[in-house]
Parts: sequence; C-alpha cells; structure tokens
Amino acid sequence: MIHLTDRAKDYITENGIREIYLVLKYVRGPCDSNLCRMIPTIQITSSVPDGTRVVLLDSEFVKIYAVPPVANVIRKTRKQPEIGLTRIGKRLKIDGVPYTF
Amino acid sequence: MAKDPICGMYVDENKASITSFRYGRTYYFCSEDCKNQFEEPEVELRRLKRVFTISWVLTVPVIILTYAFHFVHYEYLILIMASVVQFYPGLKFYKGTVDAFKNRAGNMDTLIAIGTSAAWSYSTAVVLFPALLPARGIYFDTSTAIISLILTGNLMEHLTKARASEALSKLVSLIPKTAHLIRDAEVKEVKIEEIKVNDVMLVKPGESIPTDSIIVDGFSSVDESMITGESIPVDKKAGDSVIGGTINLSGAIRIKADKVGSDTTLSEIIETVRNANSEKVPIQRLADTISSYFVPAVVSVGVLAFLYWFYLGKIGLTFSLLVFVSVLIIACPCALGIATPAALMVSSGKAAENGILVKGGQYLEIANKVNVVVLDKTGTITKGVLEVTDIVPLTGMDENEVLRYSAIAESSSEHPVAKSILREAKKRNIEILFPNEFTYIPGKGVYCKSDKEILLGNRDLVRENGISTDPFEQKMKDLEIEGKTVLVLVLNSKPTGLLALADTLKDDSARAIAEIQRMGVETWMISGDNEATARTIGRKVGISNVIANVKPNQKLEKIEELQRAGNVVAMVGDGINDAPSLAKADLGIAIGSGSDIAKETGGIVLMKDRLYDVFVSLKLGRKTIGKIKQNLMWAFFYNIVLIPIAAGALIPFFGATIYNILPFLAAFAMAFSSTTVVLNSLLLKRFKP
Repeated sequence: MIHLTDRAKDYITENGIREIYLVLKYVRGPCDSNLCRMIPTIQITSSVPDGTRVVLLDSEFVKIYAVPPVANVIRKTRKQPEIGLTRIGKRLKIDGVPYTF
Repeated sequence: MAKDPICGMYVDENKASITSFRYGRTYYFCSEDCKNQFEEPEVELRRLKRVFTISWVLTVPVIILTYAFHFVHYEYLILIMASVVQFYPGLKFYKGTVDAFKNRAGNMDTLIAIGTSAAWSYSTAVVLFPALLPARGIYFDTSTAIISLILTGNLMEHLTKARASEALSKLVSLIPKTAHLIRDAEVKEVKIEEIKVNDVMLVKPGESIPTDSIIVDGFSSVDESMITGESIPVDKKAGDSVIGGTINLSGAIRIKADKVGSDTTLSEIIETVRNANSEKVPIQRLADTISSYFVPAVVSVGVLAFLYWFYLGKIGLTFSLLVFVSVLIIACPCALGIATPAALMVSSGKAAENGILVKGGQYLEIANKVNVVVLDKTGTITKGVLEVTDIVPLTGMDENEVLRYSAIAESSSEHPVAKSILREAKKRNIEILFPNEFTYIPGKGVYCKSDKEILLGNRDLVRENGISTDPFEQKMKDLEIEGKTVLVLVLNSKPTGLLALADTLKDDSARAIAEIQRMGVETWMISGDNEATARTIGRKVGISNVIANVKPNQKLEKIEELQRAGNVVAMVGDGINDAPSLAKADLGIAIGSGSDIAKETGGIVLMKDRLYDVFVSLKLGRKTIGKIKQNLMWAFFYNIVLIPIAAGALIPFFGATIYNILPFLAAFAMAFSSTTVVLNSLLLKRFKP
C-alpha cells in the first residue's frame, strides 16, 4: 500500500522511529470568502496520539498509521504512494497521494 | 471524522466542542466563525452592507477634499475621515492578517492591510510631521478608495455567491417546518423534529410531505420533481412510499413515517451536495500550492519594485511608495482560491436539479477523464422487470383471449412471470376469474381449471403432457433467439397460443448509449445472462462489446483488465452484486432505484432511473472541469500580467505620474477579479442536459 524509499528506511533506522503517523494540516486559503477552502497538506509525525486512526502498514520495521481521510484516499488510489526524505532538512515526506481528502 | 461544512476541514467528532443541530443532524465546526457563518449566513451580508455604506460615505468626501475645496487645515479633516475608513470598514483586513499570521500564512487581507496601511501611514506622517518628509502630497484618497472598492467587490462576490449556492438553499427550503400528527384520533400540528418513525400524519392537498413515509390511507398525485427532476406527478396509493419535501397535489392522505431527521432522502441529498462543495479536486492542487507562496512573493515583488524605482528609477519616495501599494493591491490570490469551489458549487447544484447526486468534486474531474463506460445489463440498460412482449395466437383466438386464459392460470402465483402476465392483463383491462383448481409445477409452469382446462408453461411441460411442440417449434425458437422466455398456452389439451416475455429496454437506453459513444467514450455491457440474451440486448442498444455469463467477481476482473490497459473506467450498476465493481472502477455511477449498497458505493447517484443521466453526468463533468480550467487560467493570467504592470512596467511609456490613478485601477481590478470568477462559474447554470 505504501512504499518506503531506501533513504527513508535509513532515516527511520537511524532515528529509531517505530511508528509513523500521517495527519492532515490545514492552512487558511488565500482569502476570507467561505468559498475559499482551507488548504490541506499531509504531514508526517513520529508521535501517534490516541484517537481515530487507520493502520496502513504493520511491519516489524515500522508501523504506519493515518487519519481516516488520508487512509481513504490512499486505499482508493491506483498508484502506490511513497514515503521518502526531503532533499533539504532531512524530513520524511509522502508523494503520490491524490489530492481529494 | 466529520467535515466542517463551511471550511471543509476534518473535525474529530469525539473531540469537537463546537457543534450545531440543523436539518436533523449534528454538524461539527473547527471554529466559532465557521459555526456563525453556517447558522447565520445573512449576518455576514448585513455587516458587509453596513461597512460598505460607511466606507463610501466617507471616501467620497475624502476624494473631493483631496482635489478641491481646500480650506484651512482641510488635511486634518481628511485625516480623520480616512482614519475612520482605515480602522472601521478596513478592520476586517487587519483581523484577517492577524489570523493569517497566527497560521504562519499570508492571505488577501494581508496584502490589502499592508498596502492601504502604507498609503495611510505615509499620508498621516505628511500631515502630522511635515518637517520629516520632503514631499507634500497626501494619498488618503488612495487608501480609502482601495478599501471602499475592495469592499464593493466583496459585496458583489457575496451576492453572486448566493446565486451560486441557490440550488442548495432551494433544497434546504424544501424541508417542511411542521406536520399534522394524528394521535388519539386528533390532528395536531407539531414541529417536524418531533416526528418519530411510525408516527401517522395527515397531509392535505397542496402540502409538503413532512418526512419519508408510507401511505396508509388515501391516494393522490405527488410532485417529486424537486427530488428526482421528473416533471410529471406520480400517482400514489396506500402502500406506496412518498419522499419528504415533495408536494401532495390532489388528495388528502394519511402517511406513516418511515425515516426521520438525517436519514431522509432529502437530508441525504442536502448532505451530499454540501460535501461535494467542500471536497478538494486534484486540479486545484497547483492553485493551492501557489497560494501558499503567493503573499510572501507579492510582498517581495512590491518591496523590490519600491527599492528599484526609488534608488535606480529615481522617481521619488511618493511614486515609489505608490508602486509598492499598487503591487500589493492588484495581486489577487483570492481568484486562485475560489476558482475551483465556485465552479463546483454551481455544477453540483445543477446536477442535483437534474436528479444527479455527485458525492464529491473529484468525481466530476474523473467523469471528465472517463474513456470507457461499463454498463450492467439488468436494471441498468433494461428495466429489470419481465414484460409480455409477444402474444402469438395459434388458433383463431384473439390476443386478448390468449392473455386472459394465461392470466387466469397465473392469478394465484407469485412467480415474476405471473406478475408480468397479470400486469399486462390489467393494462388491457381484461377481467380475470380465479380458477377452481391450481397446481404449480416448479420450474415448468402451472395447471388449473376454470371454464377450460388450462396448462401454461415451457416446452418441457407441454411435451410431458403428450402434446407436440413441432407445429410451432420454429416460432418458439425465433422468439428465444431474441432472448425471450416463451410460454405455451394449452386449452383443453390444444395448443392455443404462445406468450413471450422479456426484460425490456429502458426507453432512453439506446439514445443514452449513442450519446455516450458520440463523446468518444467506449461502451461495454456486462451481464450474468446467457450469451444470446446479452447479445440481443447489446445489438438493440448499439453495444458491440458484450460480456455475458459473468459472475460478480468476474465483473471486477473485467474492470481491472480495462484499467490495466490504461483506461479510465466508469461502471454503471444498480445491484448489490455491482457494488464491488462500482468501488473498483475509477468512477462508480449507481442507479437510484437500485440497492442501498450500490448507492453508497457510487461516486455519482442517478436519482431517476434514466440511463441518459450517465451521459449528462459525463457531459457535466467535462463542462465543470472546462470551467475550472477557465477560472484558473483567468486567475493566473490576471496576476501574471497585472503584477508587472503595477510594479512599474508602464513607467517607461507613461512616466511615474501614471501612479496618480494606477492604485485606484489596481483596487478596481482586484475587487472585481474574484467576482469575475464567480460570474464565469455561474454560466454553468445555462448547462442543458
């Protein structure tokens, strides 16, 4: 369901990350009209709070959870999303998730 | 997780504290602001009208006093009036800026607040501390006119937006407020929220049906056009179901509530349309990405332009400042932000008006890309109900007599074949007597006695009774090749007639498929029926890609196979067995009369049983995406062309004095750029299926 790049795997190992959580972060749209929607982006955190979450990957190496809207779009997509590492700042990022949450 | 109906943000129901109970369901909000907008949208309009009026009442004298009627210390009066405009009608821009900064983002308000503050602060300094600045010009007219023009644009946008969402408002207004509850033989008017399942209500002619119900007494014609888009009233009698929000036209009826509150058809439609508007569409991603960098980019361009013209262009502090103000004021990320939602709001409303429920904007985008449509046969292309198609008398008896004896034979049977024959007899006003004896022969037919001995059944039954089918065997085969089920009527051991039954095509199937194909979309028919029947139906509707004898999982495999070949596939179906294929397809289109699971799975639900609406959905998808592209193109084009102009591209041709009017023109252009996007989206209202 989700592919981890080698660089992401190295990063996860180096930092002893056991769990990854895909959450939605909202940024206000460019104007205050209620037509202008909040802009959602997926953020990756390594702390998994209590609450509604869906398991996307349950492996020995790492467990990946997501909030339900993100899990739903990942399940529906034909392509396999990929967790990689940003070029600058060395943070985990996710690509290939449809923009429909 | 629930979705904030105003901003589209997901809210965890377990943690959300800001809620509102409306239209029979609880809504969850991310903030009090969103809740207020949801509960009292008219409050915002009233506030906007008030500040708009105050702003112009003060702006006009500021402009007049700036250019004429100069009296002693007139500039102090201008300063007072301009300050009121800046900090009362203009307060919303500062509030918006603070909110944006809290979220570490910039927005339209940030640009307006910075731009007008620059003009106001500079002019204030000139008035209060003239010794500090070399120039004597004041530009309160610029700051006030910008605020007034932008508020005018906001007001215009608000009014046009109301038109964009009027389909949803119309649906909401259909929910009746009260009902006539019958309790203890008394009729009492109660609030709709008090109605519970199984409550019995009275609905008089001309009144709305309070909630989804079953008629327990009386008959009437019901106008269901607001729900199904079907203009002809539907006759209803005891036992029939009626939909809440539809209009009872002719007779008084007593109804028993079947579904209440959020479970009703109307509530579900309202919720679907509302959700469709709040969903993100992939095409918006680029605009959203640009929006997040837009404000800092524009402020940077403004600062660079100011520095360039001040230090290198040498046009002086005043004009350089006006360059900065113009850049900030002309830039409009707002048009980028509303390009997609404005078009979606109009098109999902338009779809609902035509009895098409689109569950999310993304489905319209997929509809635009679909190049293969797979259609289930039974219940989708055909009516899914057997009908008598041919009556062939084998003796001198006429057709109606053959049908009458067949109906007598079947009058005690519950078999679907029997129901079809009885329906046809009723249609032809044929009187039917109940037989004296009746024997059902499973899988073969029936035997009974009335004034004659009647045997009605298939070939095997007739032969088992020692009667040869040879004289009419060819006729039977001809009918069977057409995919029909043939029954033989035998009266007193003599073959008297043949009855052929078939699942008939929906009236619009052939036209719908022809239109879909004309769009350049490939059509496939998939059926669990035998090859001959499936091919016959395929031939009649013009589909050559026919797959017969398939099990539900094989339907799924076929969809996957078409997807692997690089196609974007829409599946149209109605049954429980279609649900996996509807989910697997890129776009699932469920027929509204079908199973609940099919409707839940489909991205688009056709409230009417018309196959033609598949074509309408695909066409609307194309029109909507076309409109979104136009809007986005306009928004990008506007900013790309006008920001350089505001930054001084015209100075080499017209000189710096052009900035005496350019800030006004910038405010005017910005104010109406968003309205243009909304107006362009409103053109979708002209869409005719």
